[in-house]
Amino acid sequence: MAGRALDRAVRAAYHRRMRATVNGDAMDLPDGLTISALLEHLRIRPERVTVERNGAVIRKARHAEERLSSGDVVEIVTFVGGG
Amino acid sequence: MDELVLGGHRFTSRLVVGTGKYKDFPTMKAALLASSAQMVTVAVRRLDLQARGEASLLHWIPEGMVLLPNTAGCFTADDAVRTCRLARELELGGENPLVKLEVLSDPKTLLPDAEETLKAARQLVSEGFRVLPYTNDDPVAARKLEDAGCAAVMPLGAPIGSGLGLRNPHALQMILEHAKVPVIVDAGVGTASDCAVCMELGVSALLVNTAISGAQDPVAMARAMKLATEAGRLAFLAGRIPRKLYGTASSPLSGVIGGA
Repeated sequence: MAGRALDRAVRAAYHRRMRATVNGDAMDLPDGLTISALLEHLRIRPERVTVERNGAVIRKARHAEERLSSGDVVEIVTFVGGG
Repeated sequence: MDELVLGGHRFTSRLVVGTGKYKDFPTMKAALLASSAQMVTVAVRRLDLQARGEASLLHWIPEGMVLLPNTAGCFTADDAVRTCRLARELELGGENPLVKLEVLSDPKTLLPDAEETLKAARQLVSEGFRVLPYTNDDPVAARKLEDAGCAAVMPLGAPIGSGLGLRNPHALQMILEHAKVPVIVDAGVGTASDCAVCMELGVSALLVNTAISGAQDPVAMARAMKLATEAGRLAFLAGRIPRKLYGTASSPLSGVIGGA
């Protein structure tokens, strides 16, 4: 029984959704998504970008650990031509 | 060897070029190579989440060129500092990355906001950045930026993208007279002779974008500016003759035929 309850809880957690803003767009995403998972979800190669959450840069080394929360504002940036 | 030492790098080229506004990446790459630049500016922007398989700018920047991320489009010190922090992480570069600090006052003139630029410069220097600030051709602003620990000062020749050339050579001379860091003319250059004029006054380097990318033939203009920058530098080192109001003959005045 305990096993089944745990299984249900895990599934519920997996299917829980959250709202976050990514590059100005409101997105509906799985709750607790890591930065690495977010980039994968958006099909972005991590070596090309830097991610900022709520105004603070997330170091690449932390991408696999840092998790998004509902209401987070994320910016994903890259280098473009400029003078 | 006549080298420019800037923020821990040594450059033999004194022409820094931008990567903006080219019609395509192959033209940009050819122009960068023709300019012989060893440092190129880049901007930091949101990744277009809709664009799939979009070519990366960095793929088209020739290997070995030092990247100089800018804070173009920033109108406050806070935004400029935030942009530099993102750039540092993007580059995964050294401990003391070079940044071109640009804090503008309004979208029409694109003139620098001296107060916000200084504020951002102080913060960035304290965080270990090597700051190259775009500034007005104001000797006082330049001195304050130097005192704040900037690695160079970059006064404008004229507004960004205007192509008006060096509008106030006297202000630039005052900046040059007092600066102990390299002085780089950033913005205003329109054509090759503008490069020579600036270099002849003794500036350490030039930063050019629109005058190359917007030329009818960007690759040819890049080469013209490379040559003009080198010519101007050589003329500066050679030491020009003083200007005089009246003529001075080049040939002997004695022994002229039919003379007394």
